[in-house]
Amino acid sequence: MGRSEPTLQASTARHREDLRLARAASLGDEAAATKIAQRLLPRVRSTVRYLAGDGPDGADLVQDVLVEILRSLGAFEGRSSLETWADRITVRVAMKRLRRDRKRLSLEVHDVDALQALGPGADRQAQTAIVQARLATLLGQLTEQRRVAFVLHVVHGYTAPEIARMTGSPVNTVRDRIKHARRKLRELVASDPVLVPLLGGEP
Amino acid sequence: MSRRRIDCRAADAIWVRRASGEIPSQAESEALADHLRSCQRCRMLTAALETVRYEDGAPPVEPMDEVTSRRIVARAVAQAMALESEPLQDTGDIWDSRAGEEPRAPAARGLKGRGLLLAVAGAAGLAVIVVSNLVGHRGGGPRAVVEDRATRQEHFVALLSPRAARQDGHLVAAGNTLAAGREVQVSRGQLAVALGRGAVVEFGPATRAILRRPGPGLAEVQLLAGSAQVLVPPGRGLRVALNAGGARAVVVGTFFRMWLEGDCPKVAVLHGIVAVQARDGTRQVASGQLLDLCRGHMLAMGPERARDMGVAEDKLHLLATSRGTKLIVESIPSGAAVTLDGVFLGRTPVEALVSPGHRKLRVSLGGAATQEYLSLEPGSLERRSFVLEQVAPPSSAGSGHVSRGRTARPRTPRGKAPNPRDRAWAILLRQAQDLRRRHEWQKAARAYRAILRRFPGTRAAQVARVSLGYLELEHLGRPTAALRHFRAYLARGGGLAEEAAWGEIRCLRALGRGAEERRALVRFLARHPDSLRASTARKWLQELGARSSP
Repeated sequence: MGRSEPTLQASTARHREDLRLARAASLGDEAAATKIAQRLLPRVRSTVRYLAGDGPDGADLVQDVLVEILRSLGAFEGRSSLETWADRITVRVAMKRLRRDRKRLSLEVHDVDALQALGPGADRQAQTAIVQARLATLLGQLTEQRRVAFVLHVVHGYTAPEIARMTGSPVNTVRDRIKHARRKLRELVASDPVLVPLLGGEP
Repeated sequence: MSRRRIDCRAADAIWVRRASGEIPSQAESEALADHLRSCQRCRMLTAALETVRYEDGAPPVEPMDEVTSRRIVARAVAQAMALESEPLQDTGDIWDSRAGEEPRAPAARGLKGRGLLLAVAGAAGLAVIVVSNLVGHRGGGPRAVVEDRATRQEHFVALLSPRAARQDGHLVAAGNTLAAGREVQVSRGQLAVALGRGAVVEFGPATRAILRRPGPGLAEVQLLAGSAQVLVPPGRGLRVALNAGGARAVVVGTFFRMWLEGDCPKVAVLHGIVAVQARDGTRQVASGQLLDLCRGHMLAMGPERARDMGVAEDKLHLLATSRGTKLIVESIPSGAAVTLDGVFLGRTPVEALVSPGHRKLRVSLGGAATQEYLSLEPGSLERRSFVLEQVAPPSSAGSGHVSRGRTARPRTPRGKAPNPRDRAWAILLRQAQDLRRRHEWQKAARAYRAILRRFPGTRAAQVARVSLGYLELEHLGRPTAALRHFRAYLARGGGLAEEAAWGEIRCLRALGRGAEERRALVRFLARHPDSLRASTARKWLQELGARSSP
């Protein structure tokens, strides 16, 4: 799973610290807000990348999500971790934008050609980057709801009941979305000319 | 014993069960592992998905360059702070019911409950009740919406309120906070109040009561007259004590009603068993029973009362569990009438908790009107901003909705100039950002300029200067204008000083003003030596030195 299981004591201490930070930020403490934004940026970017792509619009979206998170900090009550709470906002803002800008926001990952140009001798990190970039593109071929459920599960390790709570959907519906997304993605990966050699498959 | 072989579909089923938090059996795990070894497609998919897993703290495979990430964080913080830090008088119409005094600025900054917060239950029928109350309520009287999370336990939130509920002589609207220890009076209709953890108390007509919170996990209701019914969900760790006429009932998971006939308390229980402590000992009232404490009679409550209480329980349960959508509507100019599905919500800026679903929002002022269909999701926040361009002259009449509900004490007199307190710059800033995202550069620049023109000296204007500078430089090909904005920002300073300084350098570079660029680069390196742009700055400085040398 994507999230570690901290000890109860550590978790409580961290919650307290998160609450303190969130409260300070909501009262106008810029240092606290910056700290939270810096901490959440990689996570938000990771979610946005697979939900909405990684182009210039993606960077704008990451910024918008962070603004929304910072503006909502006064409502953070510490019932869940700051990350989980932020993930909900990320999904909501990202999907709202995707729906609004369906035609404008493309799920393109612009650097894939450059990465491919590294050639077969490229190191493992570069290969992983190519796989990620291709996957982000392929995820764009899933329906919006399936993509959300699947991304939350495979990227952040949320379980179906957790995703159901986050998206307000029934658990069985979420399970169904994950299953269909997996099935579709398997076909897409297996027929992708870039991914197959990288993942050790035979065309 | 040979292992079970499974196909891709069966493997998916196991995988999805695992995704649901279930633990597959040993045999299933082995079968899945065997399948992954033999099925190339599933193996490739698994390997691909491994690469996208995110771990907090782990370095990303393809990190965002630091300049971009710093820029995103700086801009997000600047925007969020600019949007939050409005002048104090912006919230001057917030009424703190605890104070019971004239409207004043909130004690703490960052409070989210600005404007009027209205609770509309999920059911359409309840929505009608509340909104119809609301129309009359908004004409005047207190509007208590301050919700201080730090001291929340001292307050209770009204979920559903008639026009006739008061505390300290002030009207109580749905969404208001009720101060603990002060008397609440309901002359007609029902007032439902959240006690926390899903518990709700509903006061009937002609009721006087005091709510208290003596300790954590305990809410106490002192019934002075009238009736109260309490829904306490089991297993939530909340005890509710209801005191009336010398009798006391403490419950942890039930639905019961207690009322006073004269000084005589009566108790009816729909679910569970309620132990009632009276002067002459403790009596237990079981489901379906009615206890008259004065006469000591225990009766069956009868089908009619049981049905009535059943309906009441459903309603309270709905109220306790309904997840509304927070809707915020703003406009330039402010004071526009806002209707949702034809029901008047108020005048902009409006902040309301409304029932989710597909709704039609209409905003109108004078002759100008606009409408939008919203898809409201439970528990979400929807914010809409409108610029109403064709405002009718002062003599023009408002919309029908407005005149119906607001003839008595209109909040903004018709034809009055737009109220500068209405966060108009925040709306313009958001509008400009939206336009920039849509690559409508000219329109975005106009919006940013409008902020500079109309709200000079605010933090929003400072943020707008930097955004406008980059817009002029990168998209509109006007480095001279951009340079003016960057320099104006730098003259006042702020959190985006590094961005502005860098913008100044780029403008000077674009204009070919080498000597000034050199000075700006030296200044930049002196003020921001640790900047990620420092190496580029040094490189450019060297280039300039080489160019100027013979």
